[in-house]
Amino acid sequence: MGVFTIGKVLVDSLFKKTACRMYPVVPREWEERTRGAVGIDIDGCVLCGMCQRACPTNAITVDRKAATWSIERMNCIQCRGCVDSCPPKCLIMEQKYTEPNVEKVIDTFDIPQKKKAPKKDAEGKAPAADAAGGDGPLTCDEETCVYCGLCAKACPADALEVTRKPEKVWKVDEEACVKCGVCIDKCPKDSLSFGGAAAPAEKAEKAPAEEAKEEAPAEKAEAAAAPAAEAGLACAVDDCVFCGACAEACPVDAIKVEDGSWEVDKDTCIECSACVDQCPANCLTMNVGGEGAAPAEEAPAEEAKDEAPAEDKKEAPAEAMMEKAPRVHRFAEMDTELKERIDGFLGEVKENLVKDHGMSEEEASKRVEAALVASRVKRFPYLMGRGAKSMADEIKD
Amino acid sequence: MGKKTIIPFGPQHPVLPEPIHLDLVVEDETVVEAIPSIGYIHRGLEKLVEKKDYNQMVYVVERICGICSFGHGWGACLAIEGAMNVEIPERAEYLRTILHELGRIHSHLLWLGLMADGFGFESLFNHCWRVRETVLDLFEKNTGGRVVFSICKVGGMRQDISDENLKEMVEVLNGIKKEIKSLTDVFINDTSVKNRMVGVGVLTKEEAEELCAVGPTVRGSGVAQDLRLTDTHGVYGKLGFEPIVEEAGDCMARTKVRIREVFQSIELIEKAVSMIPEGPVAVNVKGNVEDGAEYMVRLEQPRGEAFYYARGAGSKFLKRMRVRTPTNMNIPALVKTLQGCDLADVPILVLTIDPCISCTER
Amino acid sequence: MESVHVEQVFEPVELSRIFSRVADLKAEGYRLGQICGVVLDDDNYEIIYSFDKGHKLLNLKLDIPTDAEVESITRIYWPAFIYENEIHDLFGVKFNHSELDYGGTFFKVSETTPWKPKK
Repeated sequence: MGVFTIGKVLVDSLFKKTACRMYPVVPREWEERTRGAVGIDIDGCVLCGMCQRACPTNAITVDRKAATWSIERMNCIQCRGCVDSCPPKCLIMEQKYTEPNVEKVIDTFDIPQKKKAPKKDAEGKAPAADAAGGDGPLTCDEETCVYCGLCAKACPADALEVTRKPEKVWKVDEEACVKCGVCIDKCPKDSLSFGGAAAPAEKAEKAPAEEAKEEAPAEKAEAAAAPAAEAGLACAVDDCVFCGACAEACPVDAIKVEDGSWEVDKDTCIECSACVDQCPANCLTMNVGGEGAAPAEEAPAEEAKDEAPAEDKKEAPAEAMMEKAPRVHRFAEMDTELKERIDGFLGEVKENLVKDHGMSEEEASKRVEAALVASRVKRFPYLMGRGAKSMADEIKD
Repeated sequence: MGKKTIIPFGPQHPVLPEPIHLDLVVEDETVVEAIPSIGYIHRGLEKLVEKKDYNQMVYVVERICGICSFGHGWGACLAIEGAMNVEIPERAEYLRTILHELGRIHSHLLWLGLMADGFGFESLFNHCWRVRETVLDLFEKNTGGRVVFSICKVGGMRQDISDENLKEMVEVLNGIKKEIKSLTDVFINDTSVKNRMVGVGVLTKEEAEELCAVGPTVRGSGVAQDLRLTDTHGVYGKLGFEPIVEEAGDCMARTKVRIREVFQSIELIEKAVSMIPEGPVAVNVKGNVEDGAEYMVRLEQPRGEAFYYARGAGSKFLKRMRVRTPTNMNIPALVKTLQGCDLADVPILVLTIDPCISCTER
Repeated sequence: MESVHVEQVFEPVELSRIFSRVADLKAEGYRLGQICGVVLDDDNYEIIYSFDKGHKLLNLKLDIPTDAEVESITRIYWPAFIYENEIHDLFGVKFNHSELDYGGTFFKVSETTPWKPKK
């Protein structure tokens, strides 16, 4: 019938419950991803100011001298730009919206100044934190630097340039540097500091756990076992699901997983951390000289730290070189020019293994291949599906 | 020969949905001529290119309009990605297509409600918007916002949407399909609705092509023009997409096109969710757009064809970001259909091109 | 249906030839897409005309000094009046022989020609 076709809908709606929420008696339920207001974990903030740069409405103000972080609530458009660009990930998007108000609301937080004792004792915080006056530009101690490029990758302001071939270069663009200290935290060799003169003094101030790491080149075997039970690979057996993914990933077959038991042969283990990344239960940690646990996302930093003590492993420098190579090779999958360079480098490693360590040709190639396969860490989205141009830009740094 | 009066219509009017001003030259209840005038909501958003870098510009472009918001975010990202020569992962393309089609569903449901309100059928209006709430809840669950999503960025998507969420999305949409059908049956079969819409505002095929109209306005007149047939955006080629065309050219035909597009979008989403690959959803983009690099891309928004043009200046700021929205191109078609209509039909005709004046004026 | 592949085609055109070029395109069956103005530097603008045929895109680029006068294409494509009036109001470019000229009142801006580079 053509006249009252909406009749059925209307009659049904008489008997269904109301589609409206009886607000404000029934409170609103927020979804997990709702973008309401920006919150900050003040303990994690390093006052780098990246959020201020990312904010499209200039709602955030970071005052390094006064050590405050403030946000104008009414200017915020809840875009999550700040949350995504925060290097120490201390900003969170809360679900509840800012309450309506007749005046503009500005929330200011005081960021506590603290030296991070177990980590490198560099000027990671605002200059006010450093009594030793190391307020100079970022410098790298070229003797300890291994040109791994982790600082450049971590830099949120793209201020660092590190290359290994054809020559070793470490350069900082001082205008772009925001002195957030993320690079200093990531450096596996503690080569970075603000104001180079302070660097040797800092090393003396470090905690004993760090000193074990410093002495590693001198005391090879000791560092491997030194903080006894903690060093090397450890499995939180309570969390372990005994799936064996770590054993499969291990290039040197150092892990044995049977029903209800997990074992690692620390002598064979080369501390490449391939197992740590493959573990689905996140129960593996690679402890080097007293460092903390390694969740999957921090695996590159972990592996970089591993590169330093890798020098003291049984198979000496060649193996150590091999651990550094796989990381660069991952990027080289996409760029054929770089791949050729890396292939040359790996050829050198193989030669080294054959000449200095008496391995047979096939054994050496097998080792190199195994290390490459193991290091193809699957959990880094930015490595996969990249356009060639953006990959090349990344390598330039 | 009647007396000619000039009636100013808008920008404030109870029945008019958008702030457009029309000077109607009326002769005894028949509109003889209509002269449009816009500019009441011009915010100069394109000029912000001088102050906001290209990442922040995506947020600005997204907020040009609340109904077409996802399309604007996608278009801005496409234009900048094209100028920088960035390839995004496949999963991101699928996700963008799925969210865009979801946006089309919510936009058409909104339009159906407004159309009903245009001829005074308020209960139908509210029922359409009640169904639309389900779609908005889906948006909030997956992207974090009901109206403005902020989920596209240069290089892909800012967050991934899990496969469970996608399957739930398909289930919810299939669940409301029956309700949408019963509501749209009213539009097509109800006698009083048909009296207001059939035969009103006829735009013949030749006129539609001459006036360069876009979107459902021109698809209701028999021209198969739909940018989802191109390969510049989304994965429509893999989903087997066919444009929906009606021949009559009047208001009812344009309504039917939009109704069928809602059901087609639900099918496209279902197909895309079944085909979506695993993988990353973004690539890391560093650096600036080169000086002189430019890219012109077009998208099929719910209202028609939209142009996005980005031009780099060598620094983090762009030189130009141009958005040309479909309503901009449909205003001449509107002016043509208004000639010779009854005064009471003016709001229906304005609504039938699905105006979005905040898009037009940026 | 097969996806149509769209290329980026930017064709430069001279100021004196713009009208005849657009008339040729109309005869070939092209549909007007949009007209866009770009500020190149203090003395030059660029106007980009976009045309579409069978979902393929063709762009014409017109480089002009800021005080140039351009022939209006509303006689060929009537809907171009929207874009020409907008460019006139925002950039200050004069379009001759326009069929529907709002005389600067199309966009209601508080400052005339806000995009024009200030000397």
